[in-house]
Amino acid sequence: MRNTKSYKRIMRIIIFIVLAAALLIGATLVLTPKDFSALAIYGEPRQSLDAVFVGSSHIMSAISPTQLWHNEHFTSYVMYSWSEPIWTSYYHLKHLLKSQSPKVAVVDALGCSYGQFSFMPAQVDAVSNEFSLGMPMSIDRLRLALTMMRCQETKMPFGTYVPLIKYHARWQYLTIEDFTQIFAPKSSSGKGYGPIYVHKEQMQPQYEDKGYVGTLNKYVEEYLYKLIKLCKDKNIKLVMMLSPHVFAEGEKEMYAQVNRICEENEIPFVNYNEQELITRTQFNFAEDMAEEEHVNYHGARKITRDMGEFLASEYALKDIKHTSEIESIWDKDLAIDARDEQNMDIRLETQPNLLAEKASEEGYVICVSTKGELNKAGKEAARAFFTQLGLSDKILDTSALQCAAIIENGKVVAENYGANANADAKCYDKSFSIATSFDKSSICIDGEEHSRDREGMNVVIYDKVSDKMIQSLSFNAFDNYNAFTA
Amino acid sequence: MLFTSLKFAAFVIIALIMYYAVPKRIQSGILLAVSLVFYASFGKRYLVAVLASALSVYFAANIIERIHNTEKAKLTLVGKSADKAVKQQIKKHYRALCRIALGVCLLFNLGGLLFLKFYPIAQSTFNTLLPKLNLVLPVGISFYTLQVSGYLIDVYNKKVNAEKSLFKTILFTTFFPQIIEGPISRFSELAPQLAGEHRFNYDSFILGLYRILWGVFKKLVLADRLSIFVNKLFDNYTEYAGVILAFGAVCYTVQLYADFSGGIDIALGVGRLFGIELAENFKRPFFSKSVSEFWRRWHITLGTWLRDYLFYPLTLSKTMAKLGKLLSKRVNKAMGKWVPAYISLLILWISNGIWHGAGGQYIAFGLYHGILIMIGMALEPLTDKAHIALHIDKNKKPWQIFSIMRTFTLVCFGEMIFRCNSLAMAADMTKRMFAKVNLSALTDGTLLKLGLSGAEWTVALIAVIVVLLVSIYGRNKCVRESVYALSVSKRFAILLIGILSVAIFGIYGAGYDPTPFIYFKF
Repeated sequence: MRNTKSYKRIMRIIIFIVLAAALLIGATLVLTPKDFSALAIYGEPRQSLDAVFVGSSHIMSAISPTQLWHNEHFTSYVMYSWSEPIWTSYYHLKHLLKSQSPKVAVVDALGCSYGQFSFMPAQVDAVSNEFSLGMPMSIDRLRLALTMMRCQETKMPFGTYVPLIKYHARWQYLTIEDFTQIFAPKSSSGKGYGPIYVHKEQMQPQYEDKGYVGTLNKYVEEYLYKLIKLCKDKNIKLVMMLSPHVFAEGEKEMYAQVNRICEENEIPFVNYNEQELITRTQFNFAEDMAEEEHVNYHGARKITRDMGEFLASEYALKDIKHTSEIESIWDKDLAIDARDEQNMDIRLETQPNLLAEKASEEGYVICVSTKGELNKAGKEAARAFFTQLGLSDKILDTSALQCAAIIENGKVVAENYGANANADAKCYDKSFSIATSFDKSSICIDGEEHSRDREGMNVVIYDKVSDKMIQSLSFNAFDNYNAFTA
Repeated sequence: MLFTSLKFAAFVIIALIMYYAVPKRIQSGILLAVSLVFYASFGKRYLVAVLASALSVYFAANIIERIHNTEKAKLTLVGKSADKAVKQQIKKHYRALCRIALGVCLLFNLGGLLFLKFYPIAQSTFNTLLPKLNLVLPVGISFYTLQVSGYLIDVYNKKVNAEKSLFKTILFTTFFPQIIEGPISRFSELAPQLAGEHRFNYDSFILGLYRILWGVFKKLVLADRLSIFVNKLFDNYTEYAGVILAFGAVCYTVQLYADFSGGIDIALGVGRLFGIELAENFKRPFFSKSVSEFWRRWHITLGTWLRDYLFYPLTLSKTMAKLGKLLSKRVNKAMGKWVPAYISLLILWISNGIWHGAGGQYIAFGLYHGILIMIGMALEPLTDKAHIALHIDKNKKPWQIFSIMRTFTLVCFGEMIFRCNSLAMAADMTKRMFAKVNLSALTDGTLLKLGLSGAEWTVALIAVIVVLLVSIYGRNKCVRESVYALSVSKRFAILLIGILSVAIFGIYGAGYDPTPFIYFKF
């Protein structure tokens, strides 16, 4: 009798613990952010990647998998986290290899510089604590947390790495995707590539031509060897890569040590900071850098092209055949990515006539609404804009007329001029409605206001492919028709 | 090691495993060991203070008992036939010796407590006269000092026998669930339990866990959430309208209750896991119909301690009796009756304030409640007459609700004084509260700029409602026992909701600073 009671109690406790654990795990899955690259990669079909790039924001900004698909026709993904130390790369790759069998793994050598120069522990640890564990809940994640506790110089309690403790405060920011993407992460169309569309001129670092000798952090060395072993065990070709950035001479010594280990293990170390590769890729520090650390999208094109050619030739990754489903996904993502780049090009354009030219291509709708007196200094720029779009520029010579116009695929579909001018049109199932007067500019897409409502020309550009309003700016009549986006 | 930390949970689990795994006769040894480890986790040097306190009380209690025994022996020796004067002489002599022992020990403990609390303020005021000392108030000193002092006075009054074991005296002083913020236990209730042998009791254990969960809910979901708003408001009170300050006072009162009673729930729950019942410290205080009733339901163990060891001895002292007689003779009987009681009350409430801290705001807080209670007592005959004249039935619901609301308002104001950093701040805040009321500030989005989003306020409101409903339900029944009596599925559902609520809506982990219990600093 007593035994039966005890048995029941034990069973109840076990059931309760299981239920509580299930609920807490469920809550963790919902509350964990889904936008980590090391999570989104699991949205790719299983065993569909030919190559994988693992590392930090350096590799994220330098390699475009869709460009690789376009140039060499092999599939890849950039699995990155900010300031990623080598042990994070190791566990990210280790876990990925349970669902993917890439032929090549390209690992960012920046993770080897942990504890040195610009990769100082205090900063790296803080960033790594925030982002390294953005991977699926698994034993590998637990091991990575324990490794971080062991290897990082900034020691944190284990609770720091428990996802529920870390992310529970997100309850008030949850979106529908947090529930729908629990078991089916959404892959990004850019495949982990993060183009940087800014430019900051940099001096190419000059180093003496001498034999550098350096040392690595002991844990870095340990995990570099583990990484090499992992790839050997899984029969994957490992490539170490370092994207161009401005670094101190001391780092050269440290990377010489990485290079030595790579040579010992017959692993290529593609260091885009070496003069030979800079020459080969025609990389220009003056034009191709976003800042000291990252390449911009011009630089990324050069690095991606070169890396693609290298991988295709060295590892037979040229024109890999995939199922029609995968081919179709990649072709679609390539188109989206190309369009995103095109959209970004439009967004960065501040010359009125060039903007008009770029947005006159297929799939764009340009809405123009003027306001106030347009007969001001610098109106030649505005005139070029009107001419480029095929609109009448007569309003620029008076002080009483306004223009409302809608241009679809470079063709004017609605235009009106007057003290109060309206234009309405239906393009790609969207209702565009423009109303303008001396003191009011309104541009609505499906009833939603987008106009900057400034003196001068207010322009809104809609992209049909991404189904987004991609730009809203004004060319200010009081400031020589310069562009303002605020 | 905060009660709400994972470290504390792991600590309790390890302690429990050891406690129930060892032979029962050494269970108290385990309790002492874990208590000392727990206390040392706040700083090893604090151990010196608590051990000094326990040692002093141990020796003083045994000396007093020995004096009592010697007195008894002497009285026996002189026999029944002895002269009454001789007996009086003996009693007087030994009473004096006892008083010396008691006085020295209380001076060491209570005097030490007062010194630690007042010296920093005195030093900052008379910095040219007094040297700067690097004094640190040991964690929980206000609680264990009262606890051991109460024990010593009980020994002096022959209510309890002195503990012969130093080890048990130390355990009574340092028992880990209660040393940080109470409850202030009585020796007669706690010591036998600590010394006793405890078999694992499943039902009691589970009820202990329920209580811990409830305490953690109150602390993490409600108290720490409101603390974000309250801290921002009190740190920048000059920027806000009177109505926001008044709302802040209400929120602080709720925060303080959830924080303190939550901590006590955890302490009592943990105690129960070890088979030890600690004294209750709260009894639905916000349902009190008067301030004096409130203090019989809020921080009960402090209230009863001050009543038993300060108020009664003062009121019944010879000095007060003489004063009463004098006033009866010279003024009138009523004065002779009430003045000594009022003086004792005033001393009690000032002591209550000082116990919390040496700052003017604490003394004002004590005085405020003391004066409210005295006014209530003085006006009672008048209000009784007014009730009769106005046909107000004090037992009817509307009057009771009014009384509850009135008491709550008065308490909130008192707690606002308590929360201020100084008496000057309390005065300034009070002035501003009434000077610029601006009711619209409640709805113009100001509340959303003080650290809590709309969603956070919603969670806080739901938590308040849950606490309120549990309090209402707990009027006649023990909520935990009612939950325990439910069917397994219902019980599981309630507990899982509780666990999930704490896990998701608790204020802990990344993005939040761990908030110590408010009474931790006393």
